[in-house]
Amino acid sequence: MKATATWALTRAVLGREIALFKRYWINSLSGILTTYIMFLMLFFGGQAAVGDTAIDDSLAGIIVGFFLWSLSFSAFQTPATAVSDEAQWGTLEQLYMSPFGLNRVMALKAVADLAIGAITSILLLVLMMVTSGTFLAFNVGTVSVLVVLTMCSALGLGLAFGGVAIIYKRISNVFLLVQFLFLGALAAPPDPQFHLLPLAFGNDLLRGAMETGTPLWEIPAADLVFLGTKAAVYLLVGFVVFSACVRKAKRDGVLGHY
Amino acid sequence: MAQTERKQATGTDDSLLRAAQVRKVYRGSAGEITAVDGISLDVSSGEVVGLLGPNGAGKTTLIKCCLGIVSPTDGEIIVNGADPFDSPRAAYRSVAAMLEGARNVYWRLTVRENLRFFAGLQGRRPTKVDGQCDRVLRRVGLTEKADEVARNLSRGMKQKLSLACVLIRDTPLLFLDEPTLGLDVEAKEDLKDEITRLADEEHRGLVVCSHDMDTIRDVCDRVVIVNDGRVVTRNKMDALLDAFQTSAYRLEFAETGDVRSGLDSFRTEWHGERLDVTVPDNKALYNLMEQLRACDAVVDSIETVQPDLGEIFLEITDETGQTAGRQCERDIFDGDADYTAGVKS
Repeated sequence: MKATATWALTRAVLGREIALFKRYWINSLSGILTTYIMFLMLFFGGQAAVGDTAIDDSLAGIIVGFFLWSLSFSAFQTPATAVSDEAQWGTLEQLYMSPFGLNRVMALKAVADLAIGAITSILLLVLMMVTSGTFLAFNVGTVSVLVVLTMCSALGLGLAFGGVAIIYKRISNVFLLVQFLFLGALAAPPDPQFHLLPLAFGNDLLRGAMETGTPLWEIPAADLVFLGTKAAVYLLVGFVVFSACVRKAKRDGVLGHY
Repeated sequence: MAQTERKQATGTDDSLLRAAQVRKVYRGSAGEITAVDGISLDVSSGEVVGLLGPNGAGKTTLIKCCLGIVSPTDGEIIVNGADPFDSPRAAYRSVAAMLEGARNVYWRLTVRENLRFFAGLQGRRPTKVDGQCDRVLRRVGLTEKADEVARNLSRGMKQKLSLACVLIRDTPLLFLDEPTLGLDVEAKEDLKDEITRLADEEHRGLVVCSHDMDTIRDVCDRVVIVNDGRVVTRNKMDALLDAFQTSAYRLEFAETGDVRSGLDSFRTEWHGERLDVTVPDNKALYNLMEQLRACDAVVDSIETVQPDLGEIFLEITDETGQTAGRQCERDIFDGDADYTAGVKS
């Protein structure tokens, strides 16, 4: 497939997401506000419960964790819930009949949503830093690389669950459980036994980089290789499960059913 | 325009779809269900093929098999030279489908945004297709609604938008499943003209699946009637209508005599003093006349009943009709090498 055609698909998918984001801006804004209100509750509630000093010690972790958590919404939920939505709208089969294939269309949709989600998450990050008075280093290159690699685990899981949704359609309760898994992984201590959890380890590296302003090239190469390998494995497993589920859906004749 | 004339006009007999002996068996806890049982279907460029059948006959499964959305248990499918299962990307450059009518579009996007998105799905830059969008919108009568959000459109307009989204993909082969659903009379006529134009002028191949017999009769070159997963009749539209035209007669009597009880061996239907009778062949017509004479009936007038595709469809797909369909098919296609009977007993 020519690069121009792929670019055309990218523009079409991104254009659709932007159009929907703008048209339903109240809904889009309410998502940011909800996460911000949760942060406020945690921040002020924490201050009241354990005191300023204790909460300040872990504030950078909380801010980075919330930033990643809000981004993981886009990374995970896009492929996972999009399948149910598209099946419900009767458009899933149309996406499947794209010469690019359903995998690529869904992956591009996830990337487009992630790009839009990144903008809203950065807005949230600024709000959190202003509210808490804790300003973290934001080296665009370093943060971008670490965020993308960290989000791959959420994206891979999203693809896998999106595949399951192709067969069973309504699995939104399972999605909720995965959100709690993400929260747990973000709150997990930086011990090696937790490094394989989605979002974990990348969260640790990002927090370190934003707290100390460490640039990417000063992060140990072994850590970056591990993060990259983990991202690739999660994505690969996600694609394999998604493809297997599509094959089963075609065999059972349920690709477009809702 | 008849199929053969279209082929002459286009100067090609390229096959856009070749589905051979397609079979689909669903296996579940309740056992096996054969949805499609050895159906073959061919579509050439410039040809409109009607696919008819009662609910649950296997039409949708067959279409989805042809589109690569449902994996067939057996059989071969080639879309414009590409296998949709082995080479889906090549196949999907050649085929687009309107599967569930108005449900095929994004209700939260505007009409134009929908068209741009579906053009993009085909690898065409959304901003480069505005001219084509305008042309497609003009053809389906949605120009004034270009910037309207789809969910605000009427049912019929959503249906038109769905068709527009298929057309914008610009593929040589189109599947239209119930394209006239929800359309008013005028819109239906416009759609029929558009289907005919797509075949005649753009030489596209179309498979139209509909319960709207008028549409099927007016736009299709050939019709394939399926029931219980099998082809019951496969015929040129004109030939199908002709076959049933010669077998049904309407008689009016000056005197009926004992005729109401004396025609048990024929399919009859009384409308007051008027009798519609269907005979299997010309020889039987003479037998009918003999019996009328034996019943002391005096025939005032006799005329050929103009066939109605809906009645033909019902006749063919009911149990007794299957026999009629088979007979009809044999009559028409004896010696015609281009078409096979396609009837499995």
